[in-house]
Amino acid sequence: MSSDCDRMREHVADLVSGTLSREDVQIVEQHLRQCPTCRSYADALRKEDLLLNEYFTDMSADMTARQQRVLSAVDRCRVPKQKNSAAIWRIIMRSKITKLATAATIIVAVLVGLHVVGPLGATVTFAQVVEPILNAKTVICDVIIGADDTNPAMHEIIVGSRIRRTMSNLPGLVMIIDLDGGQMLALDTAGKTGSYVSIEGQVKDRTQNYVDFLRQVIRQVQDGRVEKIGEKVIDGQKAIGFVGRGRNEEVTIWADPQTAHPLRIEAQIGQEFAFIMKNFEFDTPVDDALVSMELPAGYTEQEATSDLTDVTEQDFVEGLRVFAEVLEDGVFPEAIGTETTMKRLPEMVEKAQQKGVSEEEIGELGTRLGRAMIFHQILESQGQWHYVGAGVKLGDADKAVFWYQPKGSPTCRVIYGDLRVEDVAPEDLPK
Amino acid sequence: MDDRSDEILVASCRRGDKAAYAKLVESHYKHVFARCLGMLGDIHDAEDIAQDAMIKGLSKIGKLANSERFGPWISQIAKNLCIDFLRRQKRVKPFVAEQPASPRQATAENHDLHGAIRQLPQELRVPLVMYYFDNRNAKAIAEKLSISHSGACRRIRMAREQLHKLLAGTTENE
Repeated sequence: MSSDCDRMREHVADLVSGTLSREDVQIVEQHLRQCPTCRSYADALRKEDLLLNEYFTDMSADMTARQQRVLSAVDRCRVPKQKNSAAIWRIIMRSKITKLATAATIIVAVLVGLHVVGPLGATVTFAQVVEPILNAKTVICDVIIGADDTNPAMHEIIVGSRIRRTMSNLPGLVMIIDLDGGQMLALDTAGKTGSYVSIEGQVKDRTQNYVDFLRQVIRQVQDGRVEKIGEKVIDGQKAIGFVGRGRNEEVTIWADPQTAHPLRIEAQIGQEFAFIMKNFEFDTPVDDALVSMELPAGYTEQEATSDLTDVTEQDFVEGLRVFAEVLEDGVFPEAIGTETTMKRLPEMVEKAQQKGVSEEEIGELGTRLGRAMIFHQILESQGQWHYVGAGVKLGDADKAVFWYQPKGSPTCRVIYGDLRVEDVAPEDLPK
Repeated sequence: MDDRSDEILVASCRRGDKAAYAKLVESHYKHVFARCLGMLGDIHDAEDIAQDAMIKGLSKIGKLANSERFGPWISQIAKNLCIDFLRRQKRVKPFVAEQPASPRQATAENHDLHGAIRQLPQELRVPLVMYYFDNRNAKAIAEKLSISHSGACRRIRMAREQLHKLLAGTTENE
């Protein structure tokens, strides 16, 4: 065996296994034609290759049975169910377009409509509790949408008309909202990009109220009646509770009985919308840069696709269509509303992806839902709406899905299963 | 099954959808089994450990940081379980699969492919088994084992060379 053979033998195994580069194949085959020793070696390896193939083919034939045994074993196990939908949020976050259009749009939309608060009650003790809220120049707190503490929390830093908002389940997204300027800056901290989204119109009007929401509630409470509801322990701290009820709102405030520092606020607005505020800090010094609308150094600007201005009834109708088409395969869902939307949003994104909807289109769906929610929140504050669509098939022209009475209108607007909208006298409304 | 599909299935699974996990099993079990067989060298042990890995994956799915990386994650679980298994085996009795290949042993088991594969050192047996289980895809093996493509090819070549010696009962000097 020549030294050439020694060198070639290394390649023969590669040749037989199929891992040899195309250009070397010719060289090795040329050598094999001339060298009987190496040819014999190659023949032996080829036979072994056949044996290996047979061996693993036989083994693969049993894979179905093996897999079935594993599936049976898995079936006997409990699936650990998680409430946190961080994985789906990551799907949303992966596309820059989707991230800014869906996540930011919906988060902004979800959180703007808290604000039309009716008359509440007051007591002297309560005034002490709310004093820091009324007079603080900066407020830092966590806001949780829904009545469930395990829902994702928004961390809010409020300085005058500026809000810096981050989400516990969206670590890469920072939203800075300029209420006076009617603009939001959405920052992708991982990709170092930022987008400006206009929040002019209804969103801006209602968001301005949002910043003052606590103070508005409190002032109204001070002028009215407040019911004291006793004490309980919150996060290891003794707390005294007060509840104030408005025309369309119920607000419970828990505070430290010694210092009067507010510990937790639970609010129910309208039929569907609940939220919790906690971890309050008042007048903590805040760096201006945290609420600056300037694009931070090192960031590049991206054009935003979101549009939250000039929301109309048609936006709400389109939102209902998204709910039925994407979420429930052609049937209107059990419930609608801001909390429902927030909770089911990850599921909706997932189903949209399963239906082959592109990232860009999902972003568009997000914008539609955001606009629909803004319209619905306006109705929430007026209290004149009814959802009767649970189980109704999309396209069913005979069944009503939703009706509401516009402010000052003698008639109601009824949305049917085929998504047409008609004016109906209150006495003729569907039962 | 691509990473994106896995990501969606993992998300469904986290919400309690067992059917989603069944789909993950269908997509990944073969690779997990191949990894276990490569490490352990015994079909029955590989079946047991691969099943344990899939069940452990289900119970730990909430801890998976990047849901699109289910494949590498479940493979790592399987690898760790194999290491534990081999450690336990060593404590109990000498494990033939962990012994270095010996031409003298091979002579006694000539033409016994199964025995010869078991005698390969683990670092060669794993890529060899994966190669024949995975449609001869050296690139995929390189990714799964976090080695270069040429490194994967080299290990497959060395595995074939050693296997040949074991089966032929020859020595390198012959």
